[in-house]
Amino acid sequence: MANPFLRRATEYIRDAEAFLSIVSPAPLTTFLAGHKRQNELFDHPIRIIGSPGTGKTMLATLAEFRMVETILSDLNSQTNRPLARALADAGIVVDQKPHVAAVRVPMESEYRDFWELPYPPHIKTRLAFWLLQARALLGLIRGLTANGKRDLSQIRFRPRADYDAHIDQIGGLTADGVRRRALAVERAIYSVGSSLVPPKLEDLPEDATAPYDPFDAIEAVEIDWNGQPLELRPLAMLDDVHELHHEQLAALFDVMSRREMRFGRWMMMRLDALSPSAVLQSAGSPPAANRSEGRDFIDVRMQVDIKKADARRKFRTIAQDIANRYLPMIETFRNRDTPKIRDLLSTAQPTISKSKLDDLRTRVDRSQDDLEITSERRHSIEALVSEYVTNVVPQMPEDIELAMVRILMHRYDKRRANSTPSLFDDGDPDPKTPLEADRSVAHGAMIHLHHIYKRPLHFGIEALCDASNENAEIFLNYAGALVAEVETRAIRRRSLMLSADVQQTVLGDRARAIIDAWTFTHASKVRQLVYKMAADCVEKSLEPNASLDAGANAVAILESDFENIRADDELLLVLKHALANGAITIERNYGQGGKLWCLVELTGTVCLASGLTFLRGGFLPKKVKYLREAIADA
Amino acid sequence: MIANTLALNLIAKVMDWDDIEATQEYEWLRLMAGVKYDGYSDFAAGAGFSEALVDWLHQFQPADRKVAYRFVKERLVYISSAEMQRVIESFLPEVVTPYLRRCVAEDNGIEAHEVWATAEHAKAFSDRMRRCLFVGLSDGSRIDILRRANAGRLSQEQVIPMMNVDNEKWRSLGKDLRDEQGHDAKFQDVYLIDDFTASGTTFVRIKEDGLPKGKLPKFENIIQEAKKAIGDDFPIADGFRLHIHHYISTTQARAALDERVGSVASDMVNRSFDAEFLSQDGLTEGLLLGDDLPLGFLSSDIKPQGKVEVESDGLRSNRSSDEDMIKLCEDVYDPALFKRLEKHCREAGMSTMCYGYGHCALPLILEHNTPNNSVPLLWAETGTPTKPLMRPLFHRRDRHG
Repeated sequence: MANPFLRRATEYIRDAEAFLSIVSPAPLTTFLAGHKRQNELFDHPIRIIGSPGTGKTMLATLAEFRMVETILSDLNSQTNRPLARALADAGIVVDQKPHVAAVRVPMESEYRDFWELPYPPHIKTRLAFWLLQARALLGLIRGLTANGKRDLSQIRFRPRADYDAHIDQIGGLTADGVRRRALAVERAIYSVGSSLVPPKLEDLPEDATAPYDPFDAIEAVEIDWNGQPLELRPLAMLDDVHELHHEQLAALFDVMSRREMRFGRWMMMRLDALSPSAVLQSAGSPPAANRSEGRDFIDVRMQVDIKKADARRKFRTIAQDIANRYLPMIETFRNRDTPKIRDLLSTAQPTISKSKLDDLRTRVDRSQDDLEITSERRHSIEALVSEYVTNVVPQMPEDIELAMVRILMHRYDKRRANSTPSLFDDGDPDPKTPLEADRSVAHGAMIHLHHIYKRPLHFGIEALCDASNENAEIFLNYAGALVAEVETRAIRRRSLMLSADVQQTVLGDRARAIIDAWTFTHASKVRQLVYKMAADCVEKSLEPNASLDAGANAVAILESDFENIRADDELLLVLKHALANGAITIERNYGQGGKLWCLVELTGTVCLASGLTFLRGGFLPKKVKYLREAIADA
Repeated sequence: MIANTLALNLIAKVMDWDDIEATQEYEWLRLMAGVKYDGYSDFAAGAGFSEALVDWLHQFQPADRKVAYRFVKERLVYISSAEMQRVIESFLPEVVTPYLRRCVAEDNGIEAHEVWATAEHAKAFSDRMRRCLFVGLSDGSRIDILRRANAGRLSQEQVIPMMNVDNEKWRSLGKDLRDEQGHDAKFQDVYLIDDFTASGTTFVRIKEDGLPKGKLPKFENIIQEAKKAIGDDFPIADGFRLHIHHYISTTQARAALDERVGSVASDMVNRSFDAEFLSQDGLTEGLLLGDDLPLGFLSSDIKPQGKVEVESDGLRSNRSSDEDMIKLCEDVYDPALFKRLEKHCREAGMSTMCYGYGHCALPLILEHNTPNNSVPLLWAETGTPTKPLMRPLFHRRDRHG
């Protein structure tokens, strides 16, 4: 296979074992296992919402019965053990046996076309719903028999209590009967949707109009499992429901979110299928289809709900695991010991050239002169920095030390200017708030050096992971670019490890290419917005005193101002698409300085492209007007 | 075939790429080698495109290697087997069918789109199709593919793989047709099919004595001889419509054929085919390569550089970006190539092979063999094994010389 990082490798593998060897259980553990309402995920209708690349389809594929059965068939396997654990944590497996019979139903195909039929909306909805039910049942039965462990006679369906009347509708309780009925319904409804000229209502085939509600009627599926009967909760996972017309999706959601339904149903969609206020999690966002989130349905957002630092830490482990599974698939590494991704990315601090170092020294001296800082004060600042270096970062290169000194001199000047002058001042007063040389100043120094001297800022495995905003697909995109470079070095018989310079160049180029290739709705406005934000963040970050330490990578609007933006405002629409497509993240009610803010953060991709820090915390307080101006006339 | 990492390493060395440039180029090289170039008939496992490219680039001065590589990357046109198959498959539905539909429509006084509206006219169409004879002119006609692609639509008895058939075969073709369509049935349309034309001279050219030479006069002679021998049993109607179809043609060849075929045909005495039809509608092609494909056109205003024969004119480039490549062709050219192919070249009135046969200056490769109309820089091998002069990228198996 060509570089598996740069294509969705899992979508090209048909064999279950081969798929399992490269798949990561991360989506299960991150988004389902820890969910606060995990016990209800098979009872309520669930909306699983995520940006492209967050692992929706991977999650659905892993949860499908045939895959679960494959995993459980060999728990001694090193590949299968962590996957089985993840499935258990997510509630799909209990006591090393399947608890759920799940089937993935892709919604990309002709369901959307049903909305164009010349029938009343409730008929169109019913046709699409019955078709997907039929396909879900057919897929479920196929999945239950896929591994050859049982035949149709060893599968039975248990109806809901008091739903005997529906049994005939669905073809009885045997798998054979259910399958025949589902086939008939599918055939009939498909013929309606695919015909060149849709039939008149009165001419619809009988199988397309006779009542058919297996999702209502079926409560459980009974199968033979290793010679013993086992009862499973049925679950239909509708993948990519955002492909439907938005009215169709709303209508279907209304039908599927009836709480009495016992057939589990997950609707997997991209973020931009929701309304702007739902995406931005505005307090007053209208309920979906007059249903209430939490009571009538549950949202599982495939983005981090837990603390960002924890999420980052978790993702770093997951991402490296994914990368280390993909590396052996690279042709060039096949006949040699495949290195781990961590070992391919140097974290050795780069150094700037001698001429640049001399220039830096001159710059620092000039700052001292311009600020009229005494030699004694400068020495004391240098001593602070030296102490930090000695105690905390003994290998710190001289350029960072010098840049830290420069920052601290500027901070001293600011603090000196803010202090009350005294008759006894010798022009070198101690600041009220003592100066500190610490990690945050070092970060600020690195940002300065990056922009002034092109010193690499983003390198090493942690930077690679953090650049991805916990999105596996984005991570693979960046990792793929780096691995392509490693492969070149392997071909050219050189040491495989990439220097910081090479990593920065490759990642920066890739980030800019990603941004340039955005073609989603309102992409040009989003591009204009993020570049404006980035430019202003860079300007702030390059303040000589590095007032925000590592600098800014976000703007913040007062929460009360943001909440007042009208739901139909174009700004919210642009922000929604920016969020849904990985340009920004938004955190509501972010507390800072005794106020609540709506924090609009640039994602790792934009920070990479613009030379900004990945560290959180630094933001520019702005008004709503700033965002409006940023997207005007794009 | 997997791109040989050793070859990739050497390419980077030969081209003096840094790692970042090498990474980008490796992606392209692997893609193109894997999808197309490694399929070239002359390549084998371990001796594929990447290996040939190293050797080819190595012959140039370092400063010229970038020009040569850019030429391969940006100007080379490679027709793979799969692409050729598509052109062959499209012949019947896209060339023959619309023509026959128009004929049937005219004969019946209806519109072309009404031909299949009634059973009667649909039968008229299929009868007319049956009265077409398809004649392959060379191996490149790929009559085997044509037959398979049109199984059920064409009869075995209306397709012949070569124009040299014996009288027994002519009789057999005629009998089969009469058995199906009545004793008066004869072929009304004859398609002469060939794979590729670059200069148009293979089909018809005028010799020094003023007499026409080429496949068209040859076919006419065959028809005339067969008619004399077989008489009324000859299966092709008098005044039949002759079609000349090339799967791939250059614009230059098409223009040459347009100019020559009509006049030559009109001059033929007692010709068997409808010359007016041939010159107006009889020439077709599956894929017409654009007139900006060649590196340039011969011009007496331009003097060639390098080792090109003294009496030759030079090439005026189509694009300014081709000037470097033309110069490279001239620098690397070995006049021994012309000597080897002299007889064939002189027939075409050429005095150099620097720009390919017919001065076509094409950057074209066909998967089964590189045409000699392409610049020899791509295909020629001269010198000796121990002292090679011109080294090929896509080596050509030469029928001439």
